[in-house]
Amino acid sequence: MPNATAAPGYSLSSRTVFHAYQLRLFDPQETRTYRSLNRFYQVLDGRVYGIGPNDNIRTVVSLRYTHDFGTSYPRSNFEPSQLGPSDETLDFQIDYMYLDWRNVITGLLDLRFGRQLILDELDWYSLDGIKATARFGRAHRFELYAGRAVPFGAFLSSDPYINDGIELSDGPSFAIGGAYSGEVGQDLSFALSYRHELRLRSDPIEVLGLPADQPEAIEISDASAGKIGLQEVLLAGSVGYVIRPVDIDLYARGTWNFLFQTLDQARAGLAYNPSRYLHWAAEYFRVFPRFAGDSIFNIFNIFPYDRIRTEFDWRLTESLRIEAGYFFQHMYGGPTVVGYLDNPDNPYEPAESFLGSSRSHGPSGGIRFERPKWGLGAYGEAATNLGGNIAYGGNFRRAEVFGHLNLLDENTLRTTLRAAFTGFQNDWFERADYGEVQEEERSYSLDAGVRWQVFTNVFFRGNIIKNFSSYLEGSYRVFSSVEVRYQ
Amino acid sequence: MIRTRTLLALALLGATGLCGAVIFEGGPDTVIFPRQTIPLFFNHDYHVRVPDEAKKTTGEGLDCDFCHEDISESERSSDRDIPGHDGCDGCHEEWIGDEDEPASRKDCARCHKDIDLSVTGSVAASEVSPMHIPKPNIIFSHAVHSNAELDCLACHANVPKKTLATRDDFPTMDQCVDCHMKSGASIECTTCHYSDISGRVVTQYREGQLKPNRLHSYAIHDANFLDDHAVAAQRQKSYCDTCHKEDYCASCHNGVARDVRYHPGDWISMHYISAKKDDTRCQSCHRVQSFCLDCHVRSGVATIQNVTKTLTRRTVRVNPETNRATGPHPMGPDWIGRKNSRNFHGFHAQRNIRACASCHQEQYCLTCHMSKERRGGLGRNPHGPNPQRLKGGLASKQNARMCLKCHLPSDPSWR
Repeated sequence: MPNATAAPGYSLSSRTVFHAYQLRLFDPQETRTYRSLNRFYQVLDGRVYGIGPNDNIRTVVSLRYTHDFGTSYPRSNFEPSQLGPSDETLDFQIDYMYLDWRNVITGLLDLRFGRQLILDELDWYSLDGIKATARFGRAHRFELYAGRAVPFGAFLSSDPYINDGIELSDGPSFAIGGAYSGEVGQDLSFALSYRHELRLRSDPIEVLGLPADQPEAIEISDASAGKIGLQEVLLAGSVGYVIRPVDIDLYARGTWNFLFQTLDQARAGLAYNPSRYLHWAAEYFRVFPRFAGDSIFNIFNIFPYDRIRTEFDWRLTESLRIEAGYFFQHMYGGPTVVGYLDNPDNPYEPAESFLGSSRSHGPSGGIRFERPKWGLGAYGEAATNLGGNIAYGGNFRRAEVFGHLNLLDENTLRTTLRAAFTGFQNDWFERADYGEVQEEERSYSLDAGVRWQVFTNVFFRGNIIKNFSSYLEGSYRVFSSVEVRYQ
Repeated sequence: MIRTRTLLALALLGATGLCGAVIFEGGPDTVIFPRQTIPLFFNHDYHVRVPDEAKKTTGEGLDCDFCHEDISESERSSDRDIPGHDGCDGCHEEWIGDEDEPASRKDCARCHKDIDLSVTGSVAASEVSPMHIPKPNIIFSHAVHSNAELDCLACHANVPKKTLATRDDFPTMDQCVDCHMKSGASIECTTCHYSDISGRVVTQYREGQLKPNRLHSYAIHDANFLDDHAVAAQRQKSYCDTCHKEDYCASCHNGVARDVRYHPGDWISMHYISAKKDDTRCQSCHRVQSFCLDCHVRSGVATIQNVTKTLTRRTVRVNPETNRATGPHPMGPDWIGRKNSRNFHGFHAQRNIRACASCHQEQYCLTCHMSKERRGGLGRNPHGPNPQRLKGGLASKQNARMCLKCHLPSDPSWR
């Protein structure tokens, strides 16, 4: 964080977004029905700088109002014309609202109080509490925080920053954590983060199929309600080193989950940047699914996946840029033999094997040509498999051609046009499980957009997208946003 | 054969790329030093070259400050100190003329481009193409560097060999940083870059957006940076904070705007494939059990039925015409059900439990996976042959709640 003491002042920005699109109803009768979804968002960000003793205090707030107009259709009926209970929702949220006190000890300690987003090696995290940041020169920085993990659905909470599994019915929680980041010289960097969260489950477990007064239900409720459960104990670390003489950048990181003694994530990569205009990188990535501590999904027989990818970006001239990439992925799982035949002589005679592939891979590539007044480009990517069948997760192909024209100068009024093709093959349907190749579903879309700096501090953006394919025939998406910045 | 050709083509492309990158440096960033229009003829080479009769070379042998006479006192990057008529007429008075005796059209064309020599008469001011040298978006003091006794050529090494010098001959950030590091000068961003009221580097300029240089090579905003910027953010978030406030991050991560760069084309139709292949990217903006479930219910992929009756608390659809369950995956006996079924659901759950959680609540799984000791429990063990996540960790010791969803407290098997 920049540590210069700010002069007194303030900044305000407001963003108004209207987003409407049509969801294709999942419908086995294939009636291609759509549900219109209309959402309105109003975001207000405000900052006041340079108040308090020695101008060291600043306040920061981000408020969000969301009005989802809903679909007005019943949730449990196939007949879309039959009006049912509205799913309209209104939400007022505080993404963050804190007071920042810089230089509590000059040049050494900063404090932050209030609702804040903790961004560290681990994830986004919404916390009501206090965070202390200690700096030792430019090279070393420590953070410690403590407070309440904001629960899901709680008054003024914001969904995207709350982990799955945290519920409205939860009791008080307590989270502590810390982070260190440091540099040795200019080229060697370290980061370490830790988080420990406890949560009181105030409600008893609902015992399926049993009245609450049955002894079995009471036994379980007594054992679960009012207990403090460990929700998360995570440690993440990373190290990076730039070997400057050969322009190579090395990087590795991992997250260890103490709750389950597993490696939640591992990542390692290297990049080659011999010039400002050439970049190549390769990376290995392992991901293990994780939920909050109470979730039974954590203890199912679940497996990680490995992903290896490479990327290449080359700006040939000031106007021309190309990019390319490739990924390879292996999804781990139990045996691909699923189920057993009902053979009394051999109860473990396999019924069927999954005939798709656990591996998928695919290329991506793009080219852009940009001049001050206009630009053209194309991009494509695909995911396929190594065996001719559908890889786990499905196959897709995507291609786009796009262009822009600046009607005034370079950044004042820009119009864009984008034509896209999407093709996809699901692995989810029965036919794929039986080893058959799913027919490719295809859709085409045309997207016309405009970005306009109306005044110095007022920005408008609009897009209208129409789909032409049989899959999404006639569906629309409209996006508009107005942003006002003032400081 | 095709593979060989493909490999050769890729190798050629790579080699060309390396060569091209070395060849094309393009001078400093156009956001820092915007493009200029200088419709003049000038020859630095001739003016600075020392004449040498032995080598039969001509020149004037001038020092830089002969023409740029105030440059060593300049404290702002916007100071030009490019000599105009007043500066040049000391040597080229006859080319410039004055009000009484204007220069000839031919003399004007010695320096000014676009002078039409096919017409006669003196040159009107409107005929001279204007010079456009935008203000650089950088903090720079020639005076400070001059006082440090830096030679002009330390930064402008190419100029003596050039005819017209332009912004292409200004130093790149790599050169600046190299020198600052060697000399112990500050390499804090705001030493050279403008900062806003919050102390962060200003990145938005009329000429475009300022992006990281190779000094922080891990954060280079290449074409793929939108997809992999998490690596840089996790590695040194304080560096991101140099330019971006959290509202910049939140403008995408709070899930409000479905940015076309991230959700292109017919995203809704193919999103589940990306979600299964790279779920961590989805989770950086969306939570499975709020965002995904909500949308799946709305689109009819899942439904929430009578939530007060636990055994019907299953998030699957029932087709009223056939009274049978229906959904985006098989619903027949081979998906789930009898003991010797093909049990496809387990296969999928092992590989991507998050896909299950995007429609189903835990209670649905419990209807079969509950322990046999529990009344109504079918005892289908979901832990697999090697429930490594149950052993040794803190989970069962310090959060029994997840175990109690299936097991009785008196059941010893889960302890």
